[in-house]
Amino acid sequence: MNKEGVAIKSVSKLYPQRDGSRRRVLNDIDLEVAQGERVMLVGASGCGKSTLLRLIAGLELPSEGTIDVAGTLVTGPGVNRGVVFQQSTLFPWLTVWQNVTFSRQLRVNINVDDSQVAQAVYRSNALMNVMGMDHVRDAYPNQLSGGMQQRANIARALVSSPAVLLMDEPFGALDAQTRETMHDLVLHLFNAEMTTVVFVTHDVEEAVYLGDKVVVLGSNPGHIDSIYDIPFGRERSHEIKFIPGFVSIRNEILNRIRATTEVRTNQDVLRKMTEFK
Amino acid sequence: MSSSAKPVPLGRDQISPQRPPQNARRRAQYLKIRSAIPRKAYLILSLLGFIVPLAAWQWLSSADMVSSLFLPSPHDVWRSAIDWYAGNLGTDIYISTYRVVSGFLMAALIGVPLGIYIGTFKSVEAVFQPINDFVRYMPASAFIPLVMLWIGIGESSKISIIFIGVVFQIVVMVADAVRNIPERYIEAAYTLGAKKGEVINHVVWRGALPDIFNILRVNMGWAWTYLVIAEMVAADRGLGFAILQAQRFMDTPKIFVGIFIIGVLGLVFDLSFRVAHRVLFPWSR
Repeated sequence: MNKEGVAIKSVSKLYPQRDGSRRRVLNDIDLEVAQGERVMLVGASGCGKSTLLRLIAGLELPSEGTIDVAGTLVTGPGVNRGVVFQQSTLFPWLTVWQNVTFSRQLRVNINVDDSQVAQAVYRSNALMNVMGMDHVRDAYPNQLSGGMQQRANIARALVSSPAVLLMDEPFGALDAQTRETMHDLVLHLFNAEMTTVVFVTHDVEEAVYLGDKVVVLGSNPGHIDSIYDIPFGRERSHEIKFIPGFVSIRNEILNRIRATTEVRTNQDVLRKMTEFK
Repeated sequence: MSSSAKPVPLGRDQISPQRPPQNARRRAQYLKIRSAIPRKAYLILSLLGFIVPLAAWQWLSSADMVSSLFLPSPHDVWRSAIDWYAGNLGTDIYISTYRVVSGFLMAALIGVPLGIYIGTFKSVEAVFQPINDFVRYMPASAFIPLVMLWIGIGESSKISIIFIGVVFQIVVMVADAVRNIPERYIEAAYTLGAKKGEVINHVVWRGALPDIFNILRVNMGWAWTYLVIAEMVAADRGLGFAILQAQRFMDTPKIFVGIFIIGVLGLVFDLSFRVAHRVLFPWSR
């Protein structure tokens, strides 16, 4: 078992239904994320990829199986896992700087000595600087653009140097240009920090561009369908999106996802529907 | 680069030849849903909201259509105000404000924390919410006999009536405000290492504070409306008492003055709450 990174062992998740039965949304997931590895979870909507991320975060607990992060069993949310959601979770009543340094006022950090405080302040400042947020330090979240809000969310999640950064479609609500800027920004940051990342997305191109590994989840119930190793180095730029290797692996994954989704149009219904016009 | 590639700015009348004249458009703006209007116009309109009823009142009373016993003229009311001011208006205002503020503060001191816990914990909700909803619909005035029996006829009985009038509303409204805090802020705080108590302090309380402040503002207004019935309880001073007393002696102008003064005091409190809200919570719209 790896002492660092994430180890997911035979994890299943069942939700109680209104009729008393239990619906299985995740079935027997086994996945190892090595330290410094960037694993992207893709799959059709409803395949349980967000649920898996919430299980790692400890926001929900598995019905069967165990999840270890950095060698410790996950029993609830905690500082060693940073989380960034699609929708900003910056506290609207705090400025950007107060948001980023939020955890400093918590009890978990009450016993730190002066040098640790100095280090934390330095790290918060550095993250703000790297993310290009020096000028919005004292702004309130609702004064920021969506892209800026997500930068602040990422900075806040990384301040405590978590063992793993969990991201649930963090750029899903951003426009295409902002998303590309964010991709390069986080690539830079992850490379420098050797951040371990588990990243949920429905955007396969994003997954291939940012990931070391792309995990395709199948639906009903959610299970690991296939795992793709991405054969590019860590220094990437947008040009690689056009090289044949990138295109082919992207298409392969897309086809795999399509194969896992059961959408078959009933041709009879379709024909009748158009006849009415 | 050819000059024809440059975008040509459209002239005003090129956009829409049939656009209505400027004045008509400006007028249309006043009845457009949620459309802003000039600040000056807003001020004039709100002044009109006072002046028109006042003028109608003056006209009605001077046209001798209504007996002055029922509708005194603005002048009579003004004279009555001067007389009262020369008498003990100051003490009446003081004692009434003291009662309203005390009853309101006690209700806030109990209602706000209780509401927060009801909105946060289902178990607390189960214990307090049904009974609170039950008592909430009982009229505060119906408690007067009980209050006199239990608490007597001293100052605390008047304060109690005001307390009873608003505390149950504060509880229910604060609980709702707390429930409205998005779950994602609570989850975010947990993932940043917060413990349960810290989530309540740093997220639930901080996040609901502007709403709680507004709830207190509204309830302060309601507290003033309970003043008159509170001062039915063996009072010998106060604005509500003065109004009841004036009714006994058919002193209609004084009734008018009393009602106006309560209105003005309510307005002053309301405005102070609004200003404080803007200063304290710059982040909330």
